[in-house]
Parts: sequence; C-alpha cells; structure tokens
Amino acid sequence: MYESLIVMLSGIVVYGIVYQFYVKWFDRSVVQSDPNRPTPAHTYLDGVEFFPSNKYVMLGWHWKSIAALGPVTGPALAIVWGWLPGFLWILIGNSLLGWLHDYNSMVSSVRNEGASLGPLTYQLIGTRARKVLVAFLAFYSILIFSAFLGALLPVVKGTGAGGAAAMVSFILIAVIGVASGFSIFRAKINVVAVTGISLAAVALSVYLSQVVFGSTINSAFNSAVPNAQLQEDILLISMLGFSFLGAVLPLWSFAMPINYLGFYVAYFVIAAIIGSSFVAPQTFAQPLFTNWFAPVAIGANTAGASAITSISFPLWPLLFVTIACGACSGWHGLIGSSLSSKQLDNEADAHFVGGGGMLLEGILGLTSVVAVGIIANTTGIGALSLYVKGGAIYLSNLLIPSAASTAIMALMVLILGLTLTQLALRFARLAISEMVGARFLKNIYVTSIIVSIITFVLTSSRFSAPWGFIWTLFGGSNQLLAGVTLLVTTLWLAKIKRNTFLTGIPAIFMLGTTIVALSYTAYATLDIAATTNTPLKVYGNAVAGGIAVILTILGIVLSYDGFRAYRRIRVGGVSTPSMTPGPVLAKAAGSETPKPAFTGELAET
Amino acid sequence: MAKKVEEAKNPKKQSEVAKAAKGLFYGMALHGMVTYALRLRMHMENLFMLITMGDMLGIPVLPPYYSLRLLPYAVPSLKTWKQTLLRDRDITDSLY
Repeated sequence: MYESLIVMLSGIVVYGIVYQFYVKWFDRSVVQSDPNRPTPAHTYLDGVEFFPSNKYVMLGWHWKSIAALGPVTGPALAIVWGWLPGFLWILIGNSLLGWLHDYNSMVSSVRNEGASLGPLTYQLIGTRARKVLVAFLAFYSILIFSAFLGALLPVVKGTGAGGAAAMVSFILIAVIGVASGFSIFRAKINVVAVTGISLAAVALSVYLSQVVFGSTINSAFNSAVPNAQLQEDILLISMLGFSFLGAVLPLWSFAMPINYLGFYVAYFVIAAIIGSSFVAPQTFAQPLFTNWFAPVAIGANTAGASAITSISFPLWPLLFVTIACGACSGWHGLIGSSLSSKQLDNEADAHFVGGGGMLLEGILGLTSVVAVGIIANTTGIGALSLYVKGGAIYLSNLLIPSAASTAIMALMVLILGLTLTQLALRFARLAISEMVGARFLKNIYVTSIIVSIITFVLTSSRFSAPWGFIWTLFGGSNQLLAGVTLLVTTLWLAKIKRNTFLTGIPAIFMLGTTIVALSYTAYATLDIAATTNTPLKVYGNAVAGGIAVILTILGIVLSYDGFRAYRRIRVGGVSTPSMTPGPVLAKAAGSETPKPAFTGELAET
Repeated sequence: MAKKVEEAKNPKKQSEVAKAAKGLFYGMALHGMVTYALRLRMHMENLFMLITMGDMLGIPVLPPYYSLRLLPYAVPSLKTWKQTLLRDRDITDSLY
C-alpha cells in the first residue's frame, strides 16, 4: 500500500546517501579532484564555449539537457516485468553505474582540456575506435529519432489518452514559441514580458484545443480520415515534418523558443507528480513481478490489425536496455564531455553537477514507475499513454480537473519528445555527413530527408518492426555508448594510475549486456522479417535487424579495441597524440593568457 | 516574525539558498539560449575576422592595406580568435 510514497521516498533517501558518501568519496579519493587546478573554462576562456559558470547554473542546465523522454518511457515499457525490477534497476543501476558514468565523462574531459568523447576515444583507444564511434553515433541518432516518434504515436493516435487534439495543442504552442522567439531575438522585447504573455497564450491554447474542443477535434479528425492506418501516417508525417523544421531552421527561430516555453509545462508536470506522490500517495495496481520472460504481443500497434504473435522479452538483458536514461545513459556522457565540462568553474564542482544531475535524473525515472504502477490494465496501451494516464491521476489529486490533467500530460510528453527528435535529426545529419563524407550529404535538406525516410520505415506500422524492438535497439545503442564511455573513462583512470575497478566492472557489465541485447533484437527482428505474412513488414524488420547487426559488430570492435588499449596502458604504452590544441598549440596561438573577446552583457548574466 | 529573526541570524545561508534557486532556474530555463546567442555572435565575429584578418592564417581575402587599417580594432580579439579557429572540433562537440 502507498507504494508511490515508498518508491519516491526510497529513491530520495538512497540517492541522498549515495551522493553523500559514494559520490563525494570517489571524487575525493579516486579522482582526487583539486579545486585549484585550472579547468578548461579558465585556461581556454573565450566567453562563449569556455567560461566558468556557477555550479547551480551548471546543475540546472546539465539536468535539463539530460532529462527528456527517455527516463519516463523506459520504466513505463518495463512494466511488463512488474514494477519492482524497473524500480530496482533505476535505484541500484543509477547508484552504482549511472552517476559514475556521468561524473567520469565530465571530469575526464575537464582534465583533458575539454576534449569531448570523440577525441578522448581517439587519444585513449585509437584511430579505428574513433571512426567506429562516428558510425555508431549516426545509427544511434537515427534510433533516437525513431524510438521517440514511435513512443509518441500512441499518444497522438489517442490509444489511451491524448489524441489528435494533443497534436493541435502542440502545433499552437509551436506557433506561440516561434512568435516568442522572434519577439526576444529580433524585436528585443523584454524576456520576462514575452515569457508571461506566451505562457498565458499556451494555457489558453491548451484549454481551448483539448479541454473545450478536444473531443470535437478528435471526432472531426476521425470522421475526416476514417482509415486508422491513414490517420497514423498523417500524424507520423506531421511529427516528422515538425522535427525536420527543427533540424534545418536556425535554432533561435524555431527549436530553441519552443523548447523554452515547453520547459515550463514539462517541469511543472514533473514537480506536480513528485509532490502528489507525497501529498496523496497511491497504491499500485500493477503486480510486483510478473515473469523472467515477459510475453509481449507484437504487431498489436498496427492500426486495425491483430497481434502477429507473442514473443518473450527476457529480463536479462532486455530490462537493462529498456530502462536507459533513468539508470545509465550514453547520451549523458556526450553532454557531460562536450558541453558541461567546458563551463565548470572548478574540478570540485564536477561531482555536484555530473553526479548530482544523474541522481536527480533517477528521481525523474521513478516518477514513471509511480505513474504507470497505478494503472490496472495496461493491455494494448502504448508506454507513453500509460504515463499520460497515470500522471493525469496524480495531477487530478492536486485538484486539477481530470480533463485538464490528461491534456497537460499529453502535451508534456509531446513537448519532451518532439524537442528531442529535432535535436536527434539535427545530430543524425551531422553524423551521417561526417561518416560518409559524400558531397551531396553535406546538404542539410538532403540528409534530413534521407534520415526522415529511414525513420518512417522504422516507425510506421505499415513497415515497422514492433515498437518494443525499436525501443530496445535505441536502448541497446544508448547503453552501448554508456559502456564505451565507461570504458574510455576507465582507460583514463588507468592512464593517471588510479583504481579502475569501480568503473571497469560497470563497463564490462554494460558492454556485455548490451551486446547480448542487440544480438537478441537482431535475431528476433530478422526472424519476423523472414516469417511475416505482411510483405511491407519485411522491409521494416529487415532494416531494424540490419541496424542491430551493425551495432552489435561495432560494439564488439569498440570493446575489443578498448580492452587492448587497457592492456597497452597498463604496461606503459603510449596513447595516440591529443586532438585538442594542447599547451604547445595554445602557446603558438598566443593564448597563454586568453582574454574573453566575445563577452557581452549576456555573458555576465 | 520568527522567520525574520531566523533570516537575520543566518543571512548568508538564506542568500546561498536564494542563489542556488536562482541559479538552478536560470540554468534550466535560459542558460542554453544565452550560450547559443553568444555562440552565434562568436561565429559571426569569427567570420568577420577571417575576412578582414585572413592574411594571418594564409587566407588573404581583403587587400593588406585594409587589413592593416582595421588591425588596431581587431587586436583585442586576435588571440581568442586564433585559439578558437585552431581548436580541432569533433562531431561530438556539435550536439547543440
């Protein structure tokens, strides 16, 4: 009884203890952070990319950058094993692996002149590993795009909650966001005034489009487009179109102001669910544990079609890739090493920003466990629709009307999801043009269209593999990236002659688990492609299976190179020369005492 | 009343909490937008520097006469400009 209270409270207590004892001890004793050692923010100070920021600012920014839809979707999907396995993995995985990964990626970058994961891989493992990493990132970003669009599809289709009205709300918010972006960046109107007016307009548009006219919009859409498959195509293409605009337009004119407005809605909801778990604790309707091999119906998401068959999802390894971001995520390593590390004021802030940020992310993952745990019947409902339904109950416990609660929840997941898909598409086109190098792929429109077509094939139920497998593929690639990051940071610790046990064992666990999970996914999707009676589904499953095979091979190559590099470093071998400027080049550039040339009023904010 | 007395007793603690709350909010809501705006300006200024002072990197765009006329205005930015351009960038630096 009152499991929601128990889950949230135990998360806060356990993470608090972990932060107080393990995180601080590791920072002090293993990494031996020195607050007096200059960070890249000081040595390469340019007032733009490199500048020291307050640790609270960095925590807020880092947490917002790592907290998206991943931590809430994974636990919702993992409910097939019951709520306890997901809860334990978020709690224990984050305490033993997650924060270590985020913190180490950040601090290793700080100690290597702000080098991000690519140059670190090159320095510590070798040239081939860096090339493999770029290829890996190209597939990874496509999978992020596809997995999140697939997760959002049931919400906008209205299977459980939301519907086309939620999409209309989101389009209205996008329009308001673009207008606010122009007001702030072009018309130079006061940010506070623009924010106030825009948020009032957002509230009004949500109220009108979902609460007042929601059922009218949904029924009008259903009667205008009676074919369920066609409905899905229209909704999917509109989401792809939105992401496309976000990927090709300048960030300030589209993606950034929409993200800014969305932030208020999304974090209001997260805070409300956490608060409601304490104020009005709920009893879970979901079982504690179901089965080591959870049966999952595949093909059930096809509009109007019945399930093809049922397939087993083994708890190991699939749970550990299904729940990615709340427990351990490779994405965070990219953020920590490429962005946060360049703005840390001193090394001693790294455990607060990196470790603390990841533990807060775990709390976000737990909101999903408590939201989905109270839903009695989860059959045939998408993972995010479950989160929307469960979250709406928590919001209505805070005296928000039921219809408005569902509307806000549906909008919140759309905001979190679609802001991420824009970023994923933007990154995918960069990674693909870097990986292939062909001239025509340098064109942002061409690359974005190619990625969108691949994503459509992976996501649409006309072609696709079951979404559960697409999510597993995304989770597998994400966790494999986390394993590689842990491996790289282990190599860095070995290089500076520190204890590598605490990061080495998690690295082996993550690499081993994800390679097995990807192999299983490859087998399952290729098996469906070979046996399905629906001709179009051959393509989607074959593409998914092909990507799984490629990722498995890339993962094995990276792991092999990584372990060879570990042996080389242990026997005192020389690592690859640095890709970052280094003291010699910096001196040649005359930057011994660099001045912030580009600081304006904003930099002093 | 008791709250005011407590605030008077621990003014530093109070301000630290307020600083943390403000910092967190700013970091979550605005820090990304601010750094993006700065980066955009940096790229524009880098481009301007490249056009006007390209000779220094072996890329003559403007005739040296004009570069030399502009040089005094560019001097404060030269070191950071060279450092930014010479820094090798990886795809993993291009997330945002």
